[in-house]
Order: sequence, then C-alpha cells, then structure tokens
Amino acid sequence: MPHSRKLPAVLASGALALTASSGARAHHSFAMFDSTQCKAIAGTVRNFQWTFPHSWIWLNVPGRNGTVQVWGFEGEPPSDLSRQGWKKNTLQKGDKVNLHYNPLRDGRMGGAFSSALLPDGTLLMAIRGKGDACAEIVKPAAR
Amino acid sequence: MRSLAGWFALLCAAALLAACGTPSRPDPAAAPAGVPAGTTWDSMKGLPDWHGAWTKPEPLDQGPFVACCIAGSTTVPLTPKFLAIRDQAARSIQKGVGVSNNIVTCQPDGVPSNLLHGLAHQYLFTPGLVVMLLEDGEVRRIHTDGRAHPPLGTLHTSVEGDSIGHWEGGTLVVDTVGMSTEANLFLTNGMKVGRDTHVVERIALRDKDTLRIETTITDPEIFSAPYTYALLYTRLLREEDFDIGCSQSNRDNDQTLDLTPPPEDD
Repeated sequence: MPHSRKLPAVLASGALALTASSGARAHHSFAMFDSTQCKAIAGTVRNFQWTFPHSWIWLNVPGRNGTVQVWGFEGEPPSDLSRQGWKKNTLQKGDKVNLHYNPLRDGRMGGAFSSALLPDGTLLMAIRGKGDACAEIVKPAAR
Repeated sequence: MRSLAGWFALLCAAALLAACGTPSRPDPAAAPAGVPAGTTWDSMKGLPDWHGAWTKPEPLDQGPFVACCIAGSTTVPLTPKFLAIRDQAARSIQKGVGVSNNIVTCQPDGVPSNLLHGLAHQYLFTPGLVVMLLEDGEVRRIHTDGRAHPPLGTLHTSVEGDSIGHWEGGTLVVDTVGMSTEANLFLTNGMKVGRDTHVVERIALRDKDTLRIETTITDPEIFSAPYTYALLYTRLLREEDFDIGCSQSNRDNDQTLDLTPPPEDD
C-alpha cells in the first residue's frame, strides 16, 4: 500500500537541525546531503524527471525582487518511488507543491527530496534511511 | 439473435481455450523425478514464481547499512584492520566527504554490494542458468547445471565473480567466488572484497510477493567470523518502473551534484 494521505495542514517550514545518526540511502554516497537537517520549500514544478538512476523534481521558486530561482531535488529511482505511490505523471509542469528535503551541504539550491505535498492535498513519501531528519518530521499514515 | 458466424466463432474460441488450457503456476510436483531442478525445460516447471522485478522495502537500515556508516558499530564482525578502514570512511562521511564507490560513476558495484542498493533486480530462468538483471545494468550469471567453480588460479575474475547454484525446493542456493578486488563489499564505506571473499546466498519467497535473500560472507582477512544478513525484497509488477542503465539522469560527480536544469520541455 503506498504511503500517501490527505493533509489539511501546512507542513512545517524552516530548517530543523536534529541530532541523528548517519543513515544510508540508495546506492551511492549521500554525503553531499545533510541528513541531519530537514527543510521545506514551496514552488511550481518546472520538470519532473521519472528517470534512472534518480528521479528529479525541478521547482521554480520565487526569489527576491520578482526573480525566479530554479531548485533541483534528487530522489529515488522509479522502482523505489512507485512502491510509495508515485507515478510517472504524479507531478506535472505548473503544479504547486511543497517539498521536504535534506539540503546540499554546499548551500546550493537543491537537495534530496523526502516528501511532496501535492496540490490535491495528497502527501507522497520517498524512501529515507534511519536517522534522516525528514523521517522524524513527515511521517506516513499508519497502515 | 446470434448469427451462424457468431456461433462458429464462439465454438472456435472455446476449442482453442480447451486446447491451450489456463495459465499455470510453477508446480513442484510437475518436475520430472531424478532430474536436478532447473537443469532442463521440463524440470523448470517446478521452479518458484519469481516473475516481475524485486526491490527492497523500507526501512533501509539493516545490517550492512548500519555497518557502512556508523563508526564504532560492532554489528559486523570485522577484523581490526577493516574496522579501522570502516571507521575512517564513516568519519569522512560524517564530515560530508563521501567515500568513492563504483556506482557513483556508473561502474558496476559487483557482488555482494550490488544487492544492497535501493535498486531493483529481475530473474530470468533458463535450463542450467539463472540470470539476474540489475537495474544499474549489471548482469549476474548463476550456473545451475551442476558445474563446480574453476580453480581460482584459472578463474577470470570480474566484479560479479563466478556463481554456481542449485535448487533446494523453492530456495536457490548461490555460491560465488572469484570477485575482482574492484567489487564493493558494503556500498559506500570504502571496503572492497578480497581475493578470498566467498559469498553464499539463499534466495526464496517468504510470501507471494516478498523475496528473502540471506547472504553469508566469509573472508578471514576481512571478517573475524562469517557474517550473515538477510534482506527482504518486494515484487514490482509495473515493468515500466524497472529500468536498466545508469546514465539517464546520473548527475552525481562523486562529491558534488550537477544542478544544471534540464530544458523546460523535457
């Protein structure tokens, strides 16, 4: 059963630094992401790449003075996401979404996404390792 | 009222169905007696149903995943030399400096690391050979025709090693040696296999859509005792979600990420 539920509330915003043991993810070094931090961001979908070895969510995010920033978020491969209820057309260009993610340690505009709140209120999870800060904040509905 | 042509078509269809029968599941009782399972087309009738692809369920925090990144963990019986290697890699990762491994650059991970990803794999059965296709493009050939390993001195090593197997009921028992020392042991903790690393896997359905793979690794230089762990894999039926290859969207440049956005209409 996919990890998804309707959410009436707005997800927590801001950076939350949690002390957590280092977890392992997927198939390569995720050291470039800070798994002890979980951040939230709202934006408009620019691209949703249902690709291997990683899916990608690209968001247009309002910046200062009317500018638009492009943020990139790496995710699990389709074979993993599909078990969480994701599909190739889950996100469409122009959708407004809220993501929770582990930020890049180098401070650039991106990270590894852990969950997405869709326009219809559905919350879709992505696979996280034990100790991931986002796993402590956004929890799937009990089965 | 049905036309004569319509009745004729219906009768033909019924006859065809009677001739073909309904699709059947593997039936162990159908395998011919005295023939090792899986070595002939007939004996394959008794093999379990592993169709589809297999991917791991949550959580990804078992055994090797803990060992790979936690300094000081005693989960894995490593020798002092390899405890030091593991701890150095764990400290490096904690500081945000990843330890390079093969798959970051789309190189094959090899046995046993290649089943520790969050990636999927698929089985193909042919007489005397089970082929495992992995989502990162690796291919493992498991010979089930009764052959033995070639002498190590004559073995052409590869990251996949030399795998031989046999069926014990619905369990495939796989014995692998001869991995090249480029093969990874546990994902991203800097440990490679040794020349004497020996991997035994027992693969069987736990339930209809869950596959259990129990892996035992032996290598006196790396492990102070044989290390056994078991992981569960969930059956993935949507074939379009099982892709093979590593270069479609690999933006990982080992220690950093390419954040160049794709074209907007991509």
